[in-house]
Amino acid sequence: MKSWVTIAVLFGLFSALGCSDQYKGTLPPRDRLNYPIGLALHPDGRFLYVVNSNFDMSHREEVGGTVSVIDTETLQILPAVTPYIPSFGGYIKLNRDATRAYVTTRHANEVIVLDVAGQGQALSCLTPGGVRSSDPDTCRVGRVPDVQGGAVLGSDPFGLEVATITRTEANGDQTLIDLVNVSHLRGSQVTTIAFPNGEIGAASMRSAALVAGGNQIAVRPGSLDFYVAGRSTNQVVYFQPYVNPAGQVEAIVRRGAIALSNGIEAVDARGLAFGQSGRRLYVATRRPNTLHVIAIDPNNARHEIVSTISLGGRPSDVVVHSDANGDELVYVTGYNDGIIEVIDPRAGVLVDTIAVGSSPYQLVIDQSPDRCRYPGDSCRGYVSLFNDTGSAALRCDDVENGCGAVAVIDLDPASPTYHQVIAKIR
Amino acid sequence: MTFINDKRHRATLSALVLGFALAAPACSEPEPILPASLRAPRAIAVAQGEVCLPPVSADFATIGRGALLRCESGQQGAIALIVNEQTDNVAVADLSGRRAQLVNLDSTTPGVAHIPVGRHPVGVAAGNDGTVAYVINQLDRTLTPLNLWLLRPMSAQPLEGIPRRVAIASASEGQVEQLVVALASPSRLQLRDAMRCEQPTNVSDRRTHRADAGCSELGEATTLDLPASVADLAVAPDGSVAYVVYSDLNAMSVIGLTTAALEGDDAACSQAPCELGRIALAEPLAPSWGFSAIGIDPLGKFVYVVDRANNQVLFVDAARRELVDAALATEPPAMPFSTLLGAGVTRSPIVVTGDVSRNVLWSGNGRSLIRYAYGAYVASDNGSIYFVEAMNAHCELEHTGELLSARAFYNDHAARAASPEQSCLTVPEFPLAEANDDTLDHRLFVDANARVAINPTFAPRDARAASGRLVGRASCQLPEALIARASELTGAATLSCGSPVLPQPTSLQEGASVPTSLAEIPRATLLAQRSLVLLPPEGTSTTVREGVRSEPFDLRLRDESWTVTYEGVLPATARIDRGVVDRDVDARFQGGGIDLCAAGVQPGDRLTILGRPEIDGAVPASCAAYVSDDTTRADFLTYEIVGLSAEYLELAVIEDEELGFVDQLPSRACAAFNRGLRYNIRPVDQWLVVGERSGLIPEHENVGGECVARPGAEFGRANARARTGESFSGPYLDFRIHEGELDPVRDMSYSFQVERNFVAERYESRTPLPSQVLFLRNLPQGHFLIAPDGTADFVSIQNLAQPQEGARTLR
Repeated sequence: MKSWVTIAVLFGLFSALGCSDQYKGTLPPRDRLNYPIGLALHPDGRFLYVVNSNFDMSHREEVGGTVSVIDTETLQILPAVTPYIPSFGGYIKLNRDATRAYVTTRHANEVIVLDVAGQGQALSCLTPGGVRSSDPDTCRVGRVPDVQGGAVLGSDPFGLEVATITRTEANGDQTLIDLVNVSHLRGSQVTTIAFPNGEIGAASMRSAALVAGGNQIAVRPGSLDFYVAGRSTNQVVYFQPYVNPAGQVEAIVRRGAIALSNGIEAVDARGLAFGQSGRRLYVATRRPNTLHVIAIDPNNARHEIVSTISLGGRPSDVVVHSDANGDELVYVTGYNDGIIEVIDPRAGVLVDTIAVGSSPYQLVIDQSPDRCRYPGDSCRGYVSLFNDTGSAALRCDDVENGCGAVAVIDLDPASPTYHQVIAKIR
Repeated sequence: MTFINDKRHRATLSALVLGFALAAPACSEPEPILPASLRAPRAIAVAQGEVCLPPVSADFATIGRGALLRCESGQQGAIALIVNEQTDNVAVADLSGRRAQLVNLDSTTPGVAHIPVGRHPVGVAAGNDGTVAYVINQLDRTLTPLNLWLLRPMSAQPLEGIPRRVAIASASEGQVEQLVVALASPSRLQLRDAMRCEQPTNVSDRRTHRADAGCSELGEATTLDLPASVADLAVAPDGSVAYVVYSDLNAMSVIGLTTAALEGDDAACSQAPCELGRIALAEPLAPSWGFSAIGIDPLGKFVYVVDRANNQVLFVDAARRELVDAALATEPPAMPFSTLLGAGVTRSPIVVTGDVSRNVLWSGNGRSLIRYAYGAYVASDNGSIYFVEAMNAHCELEHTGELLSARAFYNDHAARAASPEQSCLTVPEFPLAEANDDTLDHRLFVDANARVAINPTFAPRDARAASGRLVGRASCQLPEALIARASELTGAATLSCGSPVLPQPTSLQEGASVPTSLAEIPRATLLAQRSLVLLPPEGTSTTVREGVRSEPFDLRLRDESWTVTYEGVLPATARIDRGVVDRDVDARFQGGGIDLCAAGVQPGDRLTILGRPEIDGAVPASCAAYVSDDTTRADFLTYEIVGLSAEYLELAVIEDEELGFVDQLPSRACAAFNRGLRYNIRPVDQWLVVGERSGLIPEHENVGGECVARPGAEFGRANARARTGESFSGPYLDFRIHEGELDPVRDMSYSFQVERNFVAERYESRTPLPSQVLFLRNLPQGHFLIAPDGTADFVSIQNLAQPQEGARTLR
């Protein structure tokens, strides 16, 4: 009898160890895109970073996503330098000197801080011991300071914008501080996390209730005004974080709001972007499907909607690009229609549409100094195709080892493939 | 069973059943229920010419396969063409009935069939003969003519740019109807002769019949470069000129479209199209927000421009090519209280269309009395369409024969120009006359055969019958000293606010007998909006009478209370504690951050430094001169203000031994004055008039640190002070301070409430972002107000001749 009890106890013990949820699911493949969402380009345009979200949770939740590093010359994913991140990653942004990449993830409501290699050829998590790892474990920021009682990052961090400021200490030493501004899909918070020299251990954080269902964030050129588009409101709110001389964020100061509609309470604002001069703000909403053109008078901070341009189904991202002819164009991804609409905002006309594939989400355009200057220069855009399978007959459920793609678009006006997809990366 | 078996009962029952069966269809006309087929309806045009739709079938809303019909004599078409931006087609709707009805052009295909056009169509225009319509396709950069006899597209024509707008310029005498297209990238205007299609014969199936059979060709295009990015254009009803507004220029271009329009113009134009001139639509230093939309009324009198950034509609006198300053043109002028050049529209106005209503009030003995209202329908982003009126006019007209029919009046420009009624349609130059003209004679214009009374409005029209008013009785705050004096005078223990012994604001005129109580007397007279009207003859008389209608100017009023206080504290100085004695000049006192011009301070007012000059509870020896022997006295440190700028005051000692104020100017020599000081400022022997929301209306403003008169202050009403026994004119009210038998005492006050009853005339559209608004008079069964929305999947349509039905949506 005793032996049976012993066996039963031992069996139960081993079963408990073997069935731990922590180790359920596989690691995601690092040579494949998997429900890509956010994109970022290294400043010299050589490397593209793609956030893979593991949206169908087919992989282990806590490290179900990756940030693919793609060589834009070969259009190949570099698996060895592609780190893991938690599932439900959102946006990715680099700091000013491209030494850090920040990624929002909603699995455990965290921001992942990744080290960017010198030429951008690799992303990794820099452990406290200085070792570069693909495991994000020591690069996750969900509580600041990371001790009991520390402030917790709010639910569903999604939108992201990074600005770098400089603080000069009494002895003349300068510290670069990355201000990572985060919007939250749930609730009404916006959050600023200050990382002196990109270091997690020295971070400080503040949150404020400003906009319901925050989506994208963008900083107005030449300022530290951050504008947030909200899904569950009819406003775009702009704010400034206040950073004290010690480099800590002390407050978030609400500077104003722009009403996008007087008749609809929740316009589901998605993407927003500024013109180069900072005097025009473009906001895409889904209720209704519209691009709002907002003029800004920098002398008195007055913001006025000067026109609205109807869009196709479910716009997502807005990118402003001055092409090689010197014309400022606005590119808007249409999630429903699988296209990018190209708009001349000054003329208020649709100048082109680009068929890209299924569910285009975010677009980035190569802004490196030697690209897109003149007709004939190499000029490319990259757009994440959230659930593109390459075939209208196939759904993501029919495809193994990941779904989605990144389309490469030719933006050289002199090229015969101008405004066409020239490649897809999977 | 017994009942049924009875023959008489069976017969009765059968008759009842038969009667219901016959009556049921007649009680309601079944409307075909079509699946939704509009997708981003961006624009609409209505063909009202020779072509009429055949009867639309009740089951599937189809019209058969034959060509459309020539309208019968006296009839005109009512074919709506709706551009679907996202599905690259044009839907057809029948507007000949009480309600609009989408038409399915092909019942053999699933869903509702429309006319296919090019990619991303954004605009449509219909020729006046109703045989051809034109669709501009933005992505293709083409123009698709539509043969309306067949409802089929003809071959698309390439355009030299990205099309933005399309319009028809009517054929004037000796001219051909023209097609006007506004292009972007680059910005230009293109003009060409329009097409005409003859009624096709032997059409067995219009779906396969050659679309361009019997149609003329489009003329060659002539092009004019434009100075900025086109936002919208409107064409004068006679087709002579076009008006263009821009998204990045604060001006409007007037473009000549015909040779006749160019003749006699100072502009160096030899060929149409040519820019005849440019009209500034904003102040010279205003930011270039641009404009979003433009419309013109059917008579071509006023052009209306939407200034979305400033939530206003601007009025342009088309004949004089001048912007009308609405604040000056209204009577009395709205300056200095309005900074807008146009009429403010609630919420964000987006699109506009002009209109002129014409109502014949009376006819007899070769004369008629006609009322006209000139204005525009403005669609905003809150699901509403507002009516903004420019002016209204009553015209007594002498004429032989009949007046023009409604259709001829609105559609036949030549007939209207040749008719006697043309004398009623003169628009004078605004503003009409000096603002203080009380007789309104300046609004009467007499011609050889017409007498016209004109009333400028330039504002949203009031839809509410109720007028603004003063509410209830006034309340008062009476100092104890005054109550005591009044008791001595009257022998009464209590004192009511309406006691005639008290000085108080009242609408009572000087010289009028004073009742025993002023409590029921209105405290003020509200600003009136006066209209000169012509009235039909009464009884057996044949004389058209003149009359003046006067009612509270509701638009100008605010829901607020007004408080009139004798020697009250200027509100901006009430809680200030940062006044600073100048370091170098004893007579100078820094205001401490408040704009003294905007605070309404005037020379002659008195400043009082509050509190005792103490440091740590004790008066320093250096401050002994600034302490009164009477420790209860709070106003000892009172000075007269003899000069001021926006930031500082020049003070002087008040040399009146009886008042016993301090006899030394404040100085930093007193140690307690080396810090921020609490102070207030009061007028002397004057009443301050302050609105709860309007605040204190200053006469001056800060310009470069100096106080100068506010722009528009010359029109009066920009003041905040009254004197006992004298009249006061405020922003929208007048009163007189009744003297009473007692002198007023400081801080005695009266408050009264004003109720505003203005509701802008509006119509529901339900469109969050209307891309166009159209008002069509004299369709077969009503007047239709239509708003398509390129961001939605419906068009809002309402028949204003059937207001009880409200707005309906066409999907």
